[in-house]
Amino acid sequence: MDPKLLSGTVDMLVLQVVAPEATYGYRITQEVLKHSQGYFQLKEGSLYPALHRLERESLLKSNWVNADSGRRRKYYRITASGKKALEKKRIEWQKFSVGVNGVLGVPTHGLV
Amino acid sequence: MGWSDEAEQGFPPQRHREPAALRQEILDELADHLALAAQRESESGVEDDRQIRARVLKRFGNPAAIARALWWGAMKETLMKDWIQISINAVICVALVGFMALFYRQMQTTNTALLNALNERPIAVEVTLPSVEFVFHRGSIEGPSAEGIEVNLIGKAFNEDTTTIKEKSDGRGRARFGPIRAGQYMIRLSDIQTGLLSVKEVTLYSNDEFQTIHVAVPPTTQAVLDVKSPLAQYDASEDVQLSMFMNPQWSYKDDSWYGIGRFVLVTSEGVFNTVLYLKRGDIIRPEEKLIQTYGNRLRFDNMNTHRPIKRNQIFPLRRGSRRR
Repeated sequence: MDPKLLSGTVDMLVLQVVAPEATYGYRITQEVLKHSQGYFQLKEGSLYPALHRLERESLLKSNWVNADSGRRRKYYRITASGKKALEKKRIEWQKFSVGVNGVLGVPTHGLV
Repeated sequence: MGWSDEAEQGFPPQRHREPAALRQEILDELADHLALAAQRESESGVEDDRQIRARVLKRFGNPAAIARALWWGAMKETLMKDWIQISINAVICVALVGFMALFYRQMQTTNTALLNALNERPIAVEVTLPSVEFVFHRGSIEGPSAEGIEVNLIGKAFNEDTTTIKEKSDGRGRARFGPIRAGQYMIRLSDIQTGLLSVKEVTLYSNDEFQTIHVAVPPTTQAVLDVKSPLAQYDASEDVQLSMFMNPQWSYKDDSWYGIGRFVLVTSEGVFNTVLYLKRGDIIRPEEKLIQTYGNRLRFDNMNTHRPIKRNQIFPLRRGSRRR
């Protein structure tokens, strides 16, 4: 897909993947790839700067865990502020997609 | 080269306010991700390590660039604060240096102006040196010229030591000083004829030109002094001694001098005092009291009341008419 279309949605996708449970960077890329049926391939060059920025904005928190491999692994989990921000982004996205679909003549179902 | 080593190459030099664990945490996170990616590639059937590495990096991108981006993201706020502080300090330094340069230049200008003024000062003083001439008159300003008045001009030119200049009035009563330096001066007069000793202050300013100052000195009155003899029964064939003390104190009022003198007769009978009030042109007489008490009359013709009579001077007593 066109990377420009993805760039504005990275924060929303990351927050969405992290929201159910704490997870780490590599797994986030795999989750996004799996749930998008292989359509979204989050580049690490975009993912990690986004993760660190969301952490500085207090939308995510992190902690280190010693993995079975003997390496340290950094886990991210969503904060209360992150949940509010995710909800806000989701609504914006729905409005955006309805608007775009309307212009393009694509039927929408069950969207606000 | 391991994943960490490759990513570490992207870091800039250590900064003084950098958190100690920042770099290691970035390296650990990226290394874990790359190791997981390599493991996945291996599990997918790729066996060659170099091929695995190439596939991982193709998908991941440059680890050094990502490490540098993460470091910059973490340090951006701190570095911006440092740069702002450095910029403010630089501006303050530049302003301070500019102010110092301006102050130094202003001080130099002021010093140059002061030096120029100091260098020009002696020339200006020389140009404006005043001269002064005293003209002495006997008795009053309208009186005749007084010759032989000794004048001491004692003074202090501005910012200089005290000096004394002496002159004596000539036949026209003139004593000239100058050119002399401007300043505060005092003249001291000494009149041989009257025994006058007086002091007068004079201020000579630098812009003054030639000055003429007229000064009145006490008159040398020629007077006839009729004196009643204190001798009740004077019938001596020989001259008797009479001493007279004249020591007038003069004051100047209404353009004329007035003197109050003490007149003392000393005879073989005793010492007799009286007071004389003198004015220019007066005939000087002792007090009535003296005349009434003593009948004899002594006469001094054409006596100069000041010059001839000196302290303890002895005059021969001429015989006068005797009355009872």
